[in-house]
Parts: sequence; C-alpha cells; structure tokens
Amino acid sequence: MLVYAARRVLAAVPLLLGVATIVFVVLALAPGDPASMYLRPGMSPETLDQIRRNMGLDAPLHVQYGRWLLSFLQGDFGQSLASGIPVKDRILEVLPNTLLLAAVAILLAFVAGIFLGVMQAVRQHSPLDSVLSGTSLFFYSMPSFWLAIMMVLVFSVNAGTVWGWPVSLPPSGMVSDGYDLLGPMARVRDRLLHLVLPALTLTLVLTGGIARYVRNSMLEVIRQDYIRTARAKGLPEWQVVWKHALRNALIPVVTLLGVYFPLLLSGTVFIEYVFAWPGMGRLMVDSILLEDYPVVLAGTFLFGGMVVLGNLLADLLYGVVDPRIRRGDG
Amino acid sequence: MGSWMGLALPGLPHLHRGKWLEGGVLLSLWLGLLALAVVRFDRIVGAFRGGLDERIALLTLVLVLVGVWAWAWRSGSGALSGQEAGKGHVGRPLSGGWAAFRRNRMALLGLGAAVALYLAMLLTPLLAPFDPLSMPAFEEGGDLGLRLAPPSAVHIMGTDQYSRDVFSRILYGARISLIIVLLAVGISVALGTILGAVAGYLGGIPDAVIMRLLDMFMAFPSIVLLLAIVALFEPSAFLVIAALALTQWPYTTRIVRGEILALKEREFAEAARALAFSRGRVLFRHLLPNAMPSVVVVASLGIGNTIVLEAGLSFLGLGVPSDIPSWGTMVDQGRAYLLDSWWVVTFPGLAIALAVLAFNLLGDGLRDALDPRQGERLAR
Repeated sequence: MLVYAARRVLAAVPLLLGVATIVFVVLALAPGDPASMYLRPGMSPETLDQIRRNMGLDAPLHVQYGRWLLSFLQGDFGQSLASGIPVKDRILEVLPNTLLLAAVAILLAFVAGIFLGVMQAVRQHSPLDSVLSGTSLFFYSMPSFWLAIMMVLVFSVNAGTVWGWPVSLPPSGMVSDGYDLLGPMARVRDRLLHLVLPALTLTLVLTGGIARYVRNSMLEVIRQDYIRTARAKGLPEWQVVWKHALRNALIPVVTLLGVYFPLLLSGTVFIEYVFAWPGMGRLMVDSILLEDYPVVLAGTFLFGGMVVLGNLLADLLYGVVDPRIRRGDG
Repeated sequence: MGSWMGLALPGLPHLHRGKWLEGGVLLSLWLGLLALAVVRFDRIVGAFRGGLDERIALLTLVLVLVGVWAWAWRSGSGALSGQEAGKGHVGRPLSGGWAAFRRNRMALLGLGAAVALYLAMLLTPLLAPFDPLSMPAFEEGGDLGLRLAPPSAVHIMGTDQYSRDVFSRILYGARISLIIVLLAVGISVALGTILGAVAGYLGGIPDAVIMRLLDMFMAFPSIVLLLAIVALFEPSAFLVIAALALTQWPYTTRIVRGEILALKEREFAEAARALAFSRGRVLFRHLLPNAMPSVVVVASLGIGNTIVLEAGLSFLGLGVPSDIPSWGTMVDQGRAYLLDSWWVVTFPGLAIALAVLAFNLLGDGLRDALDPRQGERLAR
C-alpha cells in the first residue's frame, strides 16, 4: 500500500506543475502588458517601467516562468489589485466556505445517489426505475445556475403563496444581517438555514449521475454467483442487496469520486454566484468583473490543484477498498 | 386505403396500418408546417425579397414539406416493405446500429427533439411571432403595461422588462447559442479525434506527451478554465468558441485513443500493415473509420455539455455581447425580476434544459446502439 500511495503522490506532482504551467501559458498568451494591471491615471512611463522591472517582466520568458512556478507553488500569488491585500489571504478567507459547501453536497449526493441507484437496480425495468432514470437525466441536463434560481423561486420567493411551502429559506449569503447579535444556538440555526438551498441545489445536480453509475455497477454485481449463493443460504433479501452486493458494487463508485471533482467544483462556481455564497467561485467571478487578474489566475490554479488533490484522494481510497489495485501495476 | 390519401395527407396511411410513430411524425410535420405557411403567409411573400435568414427559412420550409411528402410516398407505396432498414445488414461502421437505435424509445425522442430544435433554428424568421429586439412599450404612444406581461395568448411566454416577447427571444437565442456550440464542438471533436488517433497509434513519446497534456487540461473544471481565458483575452464570439473548444477536446481524445489502441491489434489492421500501407493510410483509412461510432457519441454528449457551458458563460455576463439574445443572457437579465415575473427567467432556462436533455438522450441512445461496452459518462 505504501509503494502504491507513494507512486500515486509522485504522479500528482508533475500534474500540479502542469496545472500551474497552463495558467502561466494563458497569462503569457493573453494580449496586453501584465504591468498595465497596475496602471493608474497620471502615472509616468518611467514608473510603469519600474513596475515592469519589479514584476520581473524584463527577464526572458523562461526565467519568468521559473520564478512564476516557484512563487505559485509556495503559495505566493501576489497582491489583489482591487483590495490591495495579498491574494493568498483573500483566498484563505473564502476557501473554507467552498469546501464546506462542496463537502456537504457531495456527501448528500453520494448517499442519495447510492440509495436511488440500488433501488433502481433491484427493480430493474419497473416503472420506478424508468421514472427515476428519466428524472435524474433531466436534473443532469439542467444548467445548475437555472436550477439554483428555480430553487429560490420555489422555496424562498414564493414560499407560502403559490403552494404550501411554509418556511422562506434564505436565498443568499452565509449568514443573516445581524448575525453577531444572535445567541449561539440561533447562530447555528442561521448558518444551517443558509446552507440548505445552495447545498441542496448542488446535490440535485450531482445525484442523477451517481445514481445511474451505481445502478449499472449494481446490475453487474447482482448477477454474480456469490449473490446467488447468498440467496441460497437463505439470507434475507435486504441483507443480500445492501451488504453483499453493495459492498462490491461500491468499489468502482470510488473512482467516480475522482471524475466528479471537476463537475462538483464547476457547480460551486455557479451556485456560489447565484446564492452570493462567499466562496472561491464567487470570488473568481467577482474578480473577473473587477479585472483583478492576480486573483483570477490564483483561483484558476487552485481549482486545478483541488481537482488534482481530489483525484489523488480518490486513487488512494481506491487502493484501500480494492486490494487488487495496489498489488497490480496501478 | 389508396395511396392517394398519402398524397394529400402524408402519414395517414401509416396510421391506418398501425405504424403510429412514423405516421404521427409525418402527419404532424405536414400539418404543422402547412399551418405555419398559412399563418405566416405575408412573411413568406416577404421572404422572397428578404435577407439570407428569411430565404433560408423559406427554403427549409419547402424542403421539409417535399421531404415529408417523398418519404411518405416511398414508404407508403410499399416499395420498401420487404426490406426493413438495418436488418442483418453488415456494412459501414455507423449503419449497423440503426435497428438497435430505433428500439430505444428515449433515444428516438432525443433524436426527434434535436432535429426539431435544428429545424426551429432554421425556421425562426417564420416561426417567431415578434421581432426579438422590438420594444413596443417604449415606442411612440406605447403602453408601458406591455412590460413584464404574464404569459397570454398573444405572448405565450410573456414579455420581459423591455416588453420584448420572451418566446421570440428564445427562438432567436437558440440560433446564436447553437451556432456557437456546434462550431466549438466541431472544432474540439476534430482536434480531439486527431490527437487521440495519433496518441493511440504511435504510442511512445507522442502518446505520453498528448496524454499528460490531456491530464493537465482535465484537471481544470471546464468553467474555471473558460473564465480564466475569457477574463484575460479580448472578449468576442470567436474567443468564446475557441475557449469552449479548448475545454472539450480531452474527452474525445481519451475515447478515440482507447478505440485505436484496441483496433490496431485486430486482424484487419495487421492485414493493412502487411500490405505495406503507409502509417497514415492505415490509421486514417482503416482504423479511424471504425472508431467513428464512439466519436459520434462523444460529440452528441459534448453538445449537451457545451450548451450548458455556453449558457453559463453568458449567464455570468462573459459570453456573447448581452444585446444579442442568448439563453444564458436571458436567464441572467430576468433574474432581477424574479420576485414578480417568474416567466422571464423560467422559460429560457427550460429551453436550455430541454435542448441539453435532447442531446443527452440522443448520445445515450447512440452509445447503447453503437457501442454497448462504453459505460462511462462524461463529466462536464
């Protein structure tokens, strides 16, 4: 396992370098002078030249690239143009919020997806199976930003009017105004209420694909001989399905975790934007509108880095659940 | 039932013989387009003097009517009755799957919706009840009550804050969204196919280089890479197309490479090599055509994903300029009026969802028909 893990980690390192490289290439290919980001009205050409030298833009491209890579991997992303504080601090401020949203959503999505997928596989070709398949494909096809708006429409704006939904859920932000005045229990409740709509929307986007994958995986397992043996022993059906079959059907699902990281993070960008959730995606979109390029580039790199790390995690987890992987050439 | 019935009402004989699907499609297309021709008669007359758009729409209308009629005549007159399409047919790689495809009802639905979308795109100048840019409420003596009007018989999807007709804007928005998406997917699939074929066939260093590059691109969530590119370069429709193409090629490359790796070990590939055919000829004439079914599947699913991405970019205000009606922009602009006017944001989003659904159903159906092994879904 150690050898396998070491090999996986070593494979992730060049990938991380590659991700930083692509960000550099995008910046280098972009038209315009990076120093002009700092251009202010009334600035003399000499000052601009000085800025250019300070930024190292007079050095040849490969030297620039080396410096860039070194500083990026050390977590030095420069200063935010809009707020003047280091990009790193800006990002550390919002990163936990994105991780919270993503973690809650992916947890809910996997629980719901596994449950639905197993239900569908057990009743293959039943009306329930077709209805669930159709519904999940429909949700999969929806643009997440529109689904988010529809959730606001149904559970927040129109609560208590068109239909019987009683509570108007908060449609934006992480906490209410006056959060600081609340008592400890009320604070927890306030935060949870604000989490409901964003997390639920992201969950809905993800669940369909997971359910579908679990269904196919489960259908393959359930036809195997050891399942027949388990039934022949007289085990109750729920035990056969949820213990014997599911354990093996879940092994390929772990790889799905890796495939879903990009989808998950794409989803957070839109959902944070619609729900004004102060996370990485929201920060990136805001920074683009403010033309705050250092933040945009750092955000791009970190999103790529998060996917690489997520894939690494999925690979390691795969090695844990399936001994064949870590013994093979992996 | 004489075939003269089929001349006046194509599809009716099919219905009579119990071929519900074919008959229903033919008859509804025929009646629908004729009704359109009658209702929009003035525009058809105007189209002769109109611009390219109107002429294309008119041509489409005529061609589809003739096509429906010819199809009904051919299959209705019994000429093909002995020989059902695709049965026991072994031929070019793409032709074998039709029999399997037409058994899959959801896939047929997807195909129908995709074709309908394409026809609607061509027919838009005739179909759209209003000019997508006209704002009657702000003209001389205009009625300000026309703004944000709820859906009614005149404006079936209501009007937006500038009193523009939402339904017409969705129709026109479909064109710009779909043109961008189709171009982007075309470029990315072509690029991805070539890279995948080269990687799979040559192996060694080219393979390693291409695959590592692919790993790097796939590490970015598509929308994030798009945002970075759109933020740093001069915004234009071409940039959006190029950026979309750049995010989509890895999926094609991965699939094609896998196919080529498997195909190059087969006997026919060995035979081609034994005949001393050049590497290019073996790859592009013998191997690649056999990988095309997978390419078609990836392209179809890729269109669905790219529609969402393009709409998302427009929604964030970073896609095509916001004065051109596009689906994403419409959802964005309607968001401010969510409280009182649900229709402004609901219908464009529904259009996106249905278009994507159509291509996803089509892609899934094609995959099941052409290549049942390939189980993995593409990530967006």
